[in-house]
Amino acid sequence: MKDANKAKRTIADQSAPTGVTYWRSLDELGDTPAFREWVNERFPRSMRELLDGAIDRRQFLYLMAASLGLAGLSGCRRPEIEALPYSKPPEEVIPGLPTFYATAMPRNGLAVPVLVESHEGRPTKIEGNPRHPDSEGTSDCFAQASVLDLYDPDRSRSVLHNGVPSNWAEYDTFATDHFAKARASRGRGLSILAEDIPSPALNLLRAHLKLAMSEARWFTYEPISGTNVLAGSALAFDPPGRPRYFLDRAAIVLALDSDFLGLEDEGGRQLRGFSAARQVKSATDSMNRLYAVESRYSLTGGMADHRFRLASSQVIAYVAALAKRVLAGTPEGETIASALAQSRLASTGRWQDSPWVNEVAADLKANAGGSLIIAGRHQPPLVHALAHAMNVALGNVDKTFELREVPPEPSSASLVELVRAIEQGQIETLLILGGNPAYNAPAELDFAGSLKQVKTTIRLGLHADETSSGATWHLPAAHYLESWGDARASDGSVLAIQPLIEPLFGGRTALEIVARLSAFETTSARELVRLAFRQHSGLKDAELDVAWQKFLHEGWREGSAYPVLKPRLQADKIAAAVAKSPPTPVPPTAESLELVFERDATVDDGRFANNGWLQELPDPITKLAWDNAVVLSPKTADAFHVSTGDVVSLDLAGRTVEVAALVLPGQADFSVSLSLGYGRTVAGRVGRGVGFNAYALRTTAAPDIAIGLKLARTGRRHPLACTQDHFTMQGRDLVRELTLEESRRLATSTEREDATKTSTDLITHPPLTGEHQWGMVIDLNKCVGCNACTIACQSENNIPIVGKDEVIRGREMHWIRIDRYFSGTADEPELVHQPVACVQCESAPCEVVCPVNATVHSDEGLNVQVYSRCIGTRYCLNNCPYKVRRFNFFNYNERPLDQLRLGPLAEKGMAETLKMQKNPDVTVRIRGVMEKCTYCVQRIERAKIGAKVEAGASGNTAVVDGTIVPACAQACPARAIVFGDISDPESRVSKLKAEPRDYALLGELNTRPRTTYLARLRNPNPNMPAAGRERA
Amino acid sequence: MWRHANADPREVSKKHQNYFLDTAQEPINIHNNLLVMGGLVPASGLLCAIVHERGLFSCLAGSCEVCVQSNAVTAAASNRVCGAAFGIPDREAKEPFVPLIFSKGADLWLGRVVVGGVLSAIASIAGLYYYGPPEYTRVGYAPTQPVPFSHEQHAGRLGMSCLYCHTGVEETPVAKIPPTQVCMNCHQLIKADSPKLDLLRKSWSTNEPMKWQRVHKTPDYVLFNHSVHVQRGVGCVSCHGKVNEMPVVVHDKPLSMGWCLNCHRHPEDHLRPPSEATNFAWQPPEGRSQQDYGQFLKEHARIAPPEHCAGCHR
Repeated sequence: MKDANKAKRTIADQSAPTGVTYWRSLDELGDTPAFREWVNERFPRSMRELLDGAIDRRQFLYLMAASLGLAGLSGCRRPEIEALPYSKPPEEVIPGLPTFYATAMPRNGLAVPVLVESHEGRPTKIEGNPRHPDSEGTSDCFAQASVLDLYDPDRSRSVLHNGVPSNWAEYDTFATDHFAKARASRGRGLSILAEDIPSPALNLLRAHLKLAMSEARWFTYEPISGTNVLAGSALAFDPPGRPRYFLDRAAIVLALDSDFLGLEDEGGRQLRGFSAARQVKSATDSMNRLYAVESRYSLTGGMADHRFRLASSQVIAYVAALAKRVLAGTPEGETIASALAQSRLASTGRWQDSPWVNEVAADLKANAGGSLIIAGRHQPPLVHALAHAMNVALGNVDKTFELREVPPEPSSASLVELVRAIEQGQIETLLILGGNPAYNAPAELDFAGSLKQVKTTIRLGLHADETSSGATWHLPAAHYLESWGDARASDGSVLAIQPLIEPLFGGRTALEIVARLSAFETTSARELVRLAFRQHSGLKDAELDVAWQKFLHEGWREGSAYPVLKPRLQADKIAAAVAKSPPTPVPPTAESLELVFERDATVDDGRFANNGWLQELPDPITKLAWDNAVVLSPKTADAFHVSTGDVVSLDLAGRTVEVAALVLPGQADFSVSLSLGYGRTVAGRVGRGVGFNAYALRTTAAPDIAIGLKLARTGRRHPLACTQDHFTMQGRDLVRELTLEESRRLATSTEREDATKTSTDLITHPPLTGEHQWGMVIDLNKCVGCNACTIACQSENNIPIVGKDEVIRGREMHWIRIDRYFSGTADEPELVHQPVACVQCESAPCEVVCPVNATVHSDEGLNVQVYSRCIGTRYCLNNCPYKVRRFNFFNYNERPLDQLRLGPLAEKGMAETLKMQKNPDVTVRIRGVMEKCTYCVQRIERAKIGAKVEAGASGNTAVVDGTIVPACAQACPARAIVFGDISDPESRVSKLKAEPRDYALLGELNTRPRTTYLARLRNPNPNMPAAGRERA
Repeated sequence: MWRHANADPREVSKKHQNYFLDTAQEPINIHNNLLVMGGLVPASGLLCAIVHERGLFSCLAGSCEVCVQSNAVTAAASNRVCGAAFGIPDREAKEPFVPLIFSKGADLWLGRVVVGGVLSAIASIAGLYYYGPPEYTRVGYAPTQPVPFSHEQHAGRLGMSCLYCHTGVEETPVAKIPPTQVCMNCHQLIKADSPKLDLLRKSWSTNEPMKWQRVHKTPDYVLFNHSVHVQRGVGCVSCHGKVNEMPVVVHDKPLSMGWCLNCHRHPEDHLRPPSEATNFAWQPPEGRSQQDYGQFLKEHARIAPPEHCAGCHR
């Protein structure tokens, strides 16, 4: 207090001649850099600059949108509203109609092709690029949610010099001088640390940098990388390449600790192929069979017909045993098999009679040419090499498996080498482009500490985060939706990154920074991309112009993919590696646990920590939102007397972290897993202090699987926001499962369960006389529970986030949730996912209880919610058997989440930037209003209006099947959701509903839901032991 | 019911009895009598307080010296005071009673207050019903525009098509207010120096938008789409009135929900061939009424406007 008074006086002396100074926090009192940053965020300089400067089209557009919005606020009875048309209208913007641009989202060493919807210059929604084979129009939750990152009000808004707000002019003055000196010394002492993003334009610049500054060094770091994948391929093949899998052609798939349907690279494309091979329509259709060996339940394990719980560190022993069996006697693999026979990898005898070796090997061999073995990113290169050897021996190459060339990128050194160089004092200037190494670097490197030894650090980042805290200069980066750039997709094809909006906060791209660094001929990112395009396309003049236009229009350049290699298996090299390999570590025990670091299914490696949509998105397996937790098997938990929510202390080689525990069936015993990306200390309002930092335990030596973990109880509890605490269906057949055999019998039998029973109807609805009758089918045999639909829906329908407290109270707002159920025993459970949105009952229980007619039926069978009528009685919610209605308990859109309970005392208003994200076709709901899935009625009406406009005076107003795609169905990488007109017997949805697998959720209630489900199929190997489950 | 905190219920009831039977001779506290009147007491307490110029609480708490001490209130006096207050005749009065608070006509004016209240409630509901809806608040709105653009001149006398300026109305949800550029297409040559067009030229040279006053506006939760109406045969005139005769644009139709629904339920009253959508002078063919011809168009083009909520609210 004494100090505070002293400080108060000091400040009063300096700045307030009146003698009385008030302050609101100790930060302000001390006038700390953090406080100045806070003020700076509140009063963005960039807005002023924007108004002063010349206004171009995009800036104008968004200013116009904002002024129209503000104009509506003044006055009460008759607000005088100004209509502001363009002075000179831009060519391609038509007010009222969205425009779509193809661009790409760079992420973890690859780029994802996307198509972005833009309303009057505001990007609002992201879809996959339908023209690119990686996406075919589908996307995932990260791509869907990235639009929120663009509008994140916590994004860095100005240049910071030693933590004090500065501006680009000051930085440019510094940089011109500084880098001129660096060029004079050929770049000695200059290093660049970048994310691993293969970009032709960046490579062009790096080539120039090499010429201009030969001594400058380039480092790359990605916390989650495909190093093992590429190393495994280099061990197995000559020439090495990037393996690509074609699941649609595989009948038997074996996943070795690989979440190839989820969090591995190319998860979306692989999932699409996988689900295509599960199309069972007639009695003769076959279906793929998936074996999964893994420690933690993954989406892939959830789809497996046979799943084997095995600690990740033990997978190599299993692979060795399996490879010995598969490779023995084959011309390609004999040397490896004999090396395996002599090695200590699989000599424990444990695998001798295991059906997981014998039966799986037999099944793989029986389907030679149509089988596939995929090793996961966690596994060491040898596991990958053995998997490749088996694929080769089974004749899968060029059928289910191919190898794409990976042309040598300009050489980059690793983060370890960078830290070594810093310690040796070789580095004076460090330019960090993106990433967040101070947070996610391996713990033993103490990168944040090393940074302090560098004289000048310049950091380009979307947020002023952990890495920026110690930097000399922090530069705001442009979001990819604001940038020109290019990047390569998983097959190597070049994708265009083009801006949809002028940088909101004046950010620059990495290209622009590096171009200034090496004094390249142009600093315009667009010019750079075009130069690179000329180089990699090899075109000239008029041809180049045409190709360039096409490149921007399509979002990628066709024919730019890397060539497919003819791989030659290096059996001798693998055999040598087997011989050299140390024995498999002993299986983990309670004294020495195994810790597996997982890429998080919602915040990735931490880059999405400040994205509210992703933070509130429940993990697909644990159903945990707003936190991560160390996942234990029930047996492990019993051994430590730990239950879900207990805080435990994890000790790995002297490094300790306290983490909440979560007990999950299906986890391998004494193997625990912890996802990365949480416990951020310097993030925005959403991500700060959420969850526990797993990077503090992660080292270069054991980045994926660490052995020797000690676990201890602390006696404390941590509240966890799980959206689904129960595990079973409690005797109801919410999710129906059949084996393939059963489904074939069903297909040939004439018996049909009537999904829409016609017994007494207590509830009446208006006559369903509409021209179309909308309905939906969700195929549980394809859905893996990846969450893409949930975020797509959130983005399309302006759904707010509610915060951890509210989620704990069960008030999350997601219109489509994904239920997860376990069946079987707690030790060997099976897992099913079921997406549930409003099923649009024909006899809707919600409608009869509404006292104000706020939920009514349309003549097309939609259960319509009328926000302006709703008075918030919540009767409908209570009467809904599906629990799909969502209530706005608070004004989630207008009030900060930590002040919801302050009522009118809370700050009011939505951040200007967040308003820009909202879909103008959907009402933003306020407090006290019920809401729920509408089948994306705005898309339905748009399509109907389109058909009517087309019809004109003629009567041909029918909407063609497939025109209307709800947001969830559009995003779904598995194509599990089909929407259409059930009154048209030829529509896709009608045909699916006619399948014998079709059933209505809680159909016995006679609600006659319009959304029905196709039963999940399993295709067990009759020779395998039933995985803890009695089958009919 | 509001009750005195200290009042013993039995006491109260006894005194209550005394009051009505008028037998007790000992002084009583009139406040207790007042208090048992429940809900009326605060009101009379207020009146007492005003009359005696004392604080309200002193009266209610029985500590007001005016009644308790100076009057040394007897039951009879109390009867007079309170009886007068509540219009109960004083049976013991020897001489004409001078009312202290309420006149004998209190009943009458109390009744008047009640009746007046009811009447004014009805009047305000009726007023809201008449003056509240868009039929009154919106129709006739004709703001002054920054540039006195006359639709009568352009669309009427010059016969320009609506679509020359309001492009997009056939394809998009909105009938665009024309950009400055559209005005300048002609006005670079015609009336190029007119001072009335100063603002227009300024907008043209500075790239700043013209600040037109918006006349027609649906609420944010109404998603009206121009293209589908125009393309299916609802003329401009049906919603905007005879704009070609308006020197200053006037809000001609209410654009209220009931008004929209009228047409959605009976589109035949307004349908015309889509090619005539912008023709203000269009009439149904000779010998056919609007309803008759509209019905024909409705059946021919299978016009079925949505009547469910999601048709306009999403």
